[in-house]
Amino acid sequence: MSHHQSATGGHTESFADQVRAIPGGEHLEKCYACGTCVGQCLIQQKVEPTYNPRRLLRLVMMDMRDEAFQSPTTWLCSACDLCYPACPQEIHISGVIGAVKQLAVQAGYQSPLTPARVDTATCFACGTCIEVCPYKAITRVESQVEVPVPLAKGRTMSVQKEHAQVNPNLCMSCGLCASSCLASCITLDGYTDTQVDEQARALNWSPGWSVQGGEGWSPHVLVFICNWSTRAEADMAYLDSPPPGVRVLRVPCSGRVTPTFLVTALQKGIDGVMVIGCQPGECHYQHGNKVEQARLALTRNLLDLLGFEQERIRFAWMPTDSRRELAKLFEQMMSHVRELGAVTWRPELG
Amino acid sequence: MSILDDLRRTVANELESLDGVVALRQDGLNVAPYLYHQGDDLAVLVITPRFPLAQTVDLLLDAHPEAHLGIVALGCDERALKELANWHQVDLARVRVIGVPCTGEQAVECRCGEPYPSTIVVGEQVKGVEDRVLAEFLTTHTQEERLAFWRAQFAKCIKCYGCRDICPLCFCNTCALEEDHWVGRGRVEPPFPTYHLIKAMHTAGSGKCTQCGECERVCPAYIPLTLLYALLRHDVKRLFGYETGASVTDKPPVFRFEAAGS
Repeated sequence: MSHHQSATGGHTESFADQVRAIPGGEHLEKCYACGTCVGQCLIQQKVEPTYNPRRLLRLVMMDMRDEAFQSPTTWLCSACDLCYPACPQEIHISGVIGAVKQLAVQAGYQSPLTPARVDTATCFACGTCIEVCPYKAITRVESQVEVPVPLAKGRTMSVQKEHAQVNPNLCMSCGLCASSCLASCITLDGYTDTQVDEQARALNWSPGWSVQGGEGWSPHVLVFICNWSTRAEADMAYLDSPPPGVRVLRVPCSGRVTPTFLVTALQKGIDGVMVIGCQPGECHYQHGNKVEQARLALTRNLLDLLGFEQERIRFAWMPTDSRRELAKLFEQMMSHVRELGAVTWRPELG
Repeated sequence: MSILDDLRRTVANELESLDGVVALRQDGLNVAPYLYHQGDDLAVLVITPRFPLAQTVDLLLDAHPEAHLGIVALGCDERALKELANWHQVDLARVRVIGVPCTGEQAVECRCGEPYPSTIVVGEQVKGVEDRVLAEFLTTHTQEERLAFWRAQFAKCIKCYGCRDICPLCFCNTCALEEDHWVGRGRVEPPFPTYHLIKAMHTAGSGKCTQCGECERVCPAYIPLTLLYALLRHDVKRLFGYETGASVTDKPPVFRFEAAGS
């Protein structure tokens, strides 16, 4: 199946021709395989060593269709476009990869990622997730759904209703939908509200931690950090053994963090919460960081209206080319919280 | 001719081309929402006390997917309908608004800036009220005073969910305020500020608050919820340029990924 019959018949259309025919795939042949894109790519560095846009483009040029369709490069590119400005040939590489992915889906291949999951019984099709999804992976559909019978425990009935539906081949598992849904009808496995809460509870805070402040009090800070926002080895090692008083929870994107995560942490007696995302323009999932920034701005305002110190919640950007910035950020946050003192939000250990 | 007589006559006319009109009905001492059909006795149709009818319309339209309904609507009812449309809960093509303005007295009671719908079929439009309480709260209360104020107010909460249940924009099938890991099921009083912060973020913070004031009116503990939500509405407008129910083309702030002006 190396060549496909073209629509006009007669001669055959190569794989490269097909890719070029899809908007985004036009600039395929400009690649001279320098590999600059690979050097920029966070996926190759952090997730999948065999991930390699340069190779994928070669596979297309060499008509190696099945190899290209099975390559992780086809499926894992989130179109963060860090490679785009670096490419000396100005190839919009994520566009080419997107074209290959489109053909792969047409050929019956499926994304290896675990997509967001919709609870069709409770979803009320408001469209928040549809609007916020960076990949237009969610649509509103109508189907026959089993819903619980009101007041009849365990019994269900079948109704025709509208609900959100995730295209598993477009979803990149960022979790922005999950954090935007007011009723948690859409979730991301591994990062459901319950799972994040359990992770936060399981954090091993130092023994003898005094939540009430007073004698022997030292600041405790919880950091939610985007998985993609650190790339320096030193910074990643630093995250594995953060300084005393700091605990780190990793999330797929800063945009997965809901205000509720932060406020419940403070409620439990943690003195400060910081969310770290990628710098504007460098979000791995296009605009997750901006969503989070806007959301936290409003949360901080609300805390201020209620008379709480809004400075206990902070948001920080990490430029992808930063080195050893994390230690500075953490130290700033700690001294900041030290000045604010112990949180007095009716503390209770969760 | 009184306003009420005018209104009843208008509703009778509208019923000729509609499947029904949602309005209030007086039955002895009880007043409740009612779906009027053609030929019904309209002498029992009343407009006080007020009740958020947009929620009733939403439920009726869901139950009768082919129906076209009228609604005797105040300004906040119309804003609620538009907001429900923005959240894909109501199809405005199936709703006809029979607009009634509030009286000056009602506007003062609600501290309402826009006590009238976009079109009015009976009565006189009165001016909106400038909310001095709102404007002064932040300048007259320091951070410590605000905290003391809200702590005392929310300590009265008996977690009856009345504010949520009456809200015309609380349409979720599942509610974060019932999640054990966030607010502790069966716990009274609910955790301050988490419980109230979630409630505020999911209503006014999501651009849903029409300032109808129903949450405060039903609260058995007299918690001044509209003060908090009005302040938050103000922030939503400042940060995201969003005004609840002002338009049916705007996207609510939770749909957006950029603050205004960024």
